[in-house]
Amino acid sequence: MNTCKRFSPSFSDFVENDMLSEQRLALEEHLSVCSGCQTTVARLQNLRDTLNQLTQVQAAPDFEAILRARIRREGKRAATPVFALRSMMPRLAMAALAGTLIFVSASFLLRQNSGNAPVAAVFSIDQPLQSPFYRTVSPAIPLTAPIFYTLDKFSPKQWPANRKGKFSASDSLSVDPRDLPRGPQNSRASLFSL
Amino acid sequence: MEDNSKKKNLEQLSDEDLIEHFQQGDTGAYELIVRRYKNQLSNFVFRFLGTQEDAEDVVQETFLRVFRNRFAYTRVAKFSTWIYTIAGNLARTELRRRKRRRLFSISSLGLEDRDYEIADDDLNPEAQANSTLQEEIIQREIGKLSPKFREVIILRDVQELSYEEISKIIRVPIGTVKSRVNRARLRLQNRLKILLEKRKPKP
Repeated sequence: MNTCKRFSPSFSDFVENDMLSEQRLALEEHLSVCSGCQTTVARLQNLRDTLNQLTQVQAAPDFEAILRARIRREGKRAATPVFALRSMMPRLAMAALAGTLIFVSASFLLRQNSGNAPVAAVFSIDQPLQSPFYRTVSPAIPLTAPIFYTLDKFSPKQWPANRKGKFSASDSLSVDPRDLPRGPQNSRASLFSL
Repeated sequence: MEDNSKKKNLEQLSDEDLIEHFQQGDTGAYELIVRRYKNQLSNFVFRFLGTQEDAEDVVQETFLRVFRNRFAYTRVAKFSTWIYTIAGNLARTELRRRKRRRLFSISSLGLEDRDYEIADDDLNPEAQANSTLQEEIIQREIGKLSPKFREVIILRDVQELSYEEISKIIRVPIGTVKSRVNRARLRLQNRLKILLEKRKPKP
């Protein structure tokens, strides 16, 4: 039974004569002693021939005439400004939706950041940690969204030892949220990134 | 006279050359593409969806998209791969739409509901009726396969496309296509046991 399971994935290759000779010999050897697999392989061969000989369904005789009429109709519509505008509607709607989403997320984040507390990971941009400027990031912000800068209230002493020194923008991905200082100032961090 | 020779010249062109002519504004090339593919796409989509009416709508829409998006085609891929991908995507969308509306029931269609054209056969009426019935059963069982198995088995065993082309059409690796084809065949042969043991394939 296990041998049958081992061989069954290669039945199609066998039927299509697309096997390495070594594998083929092994399968033939199995088939010579297993009537179940022999029957299955015979049926697969028959199935392949049967599917290949199914009646070929033809397109309706007026297929081309209908298509031609549809193309003509579409051409006329495209030439009419109202219809041309209508065909652009889905794209315009998508653009409007994207714009609204960016605006809503930006204003939401702006409101969230009004207390000047860091939202998620905080790091400096190519500046020493002593700099008062830190960038607040959140994975929820799309790349196109405005970047918010906030004043960090923590002193460098509060940062873990391995985070002291000069940080760069490329460090952002390696900031472990657990390294962030804990306390009420940072409680909103979990909302976005933790 | 000139028109005839132009038509003859177009007929000798490959699909890829035809679409290039069409991109340059030759609608005769488009008509020839339609003529070359309308039957094979109708067959593929009919086998996938199970009804001639829906198949015709999907194939019409496929050619409309080719017309509209002719400049989207580049010679990187074979034209047949491109057009089969469009038809396959539309057929899958149609299937999802049906599923949502819970209208799909191949078994509820009687013989009289099928109005597809059957090519002339030299079988006697009794044998022909028997053959049609067998095809009905096979089509019904194909329709019971999940779409991902159904699509590959039709492309491979009905349309006789290569594994490589199928892999490009459905955008999965060749190994996955082979595995799906094997599993689809095993399922189908299991469901069609009696018929396959009785049926002798035509020489």
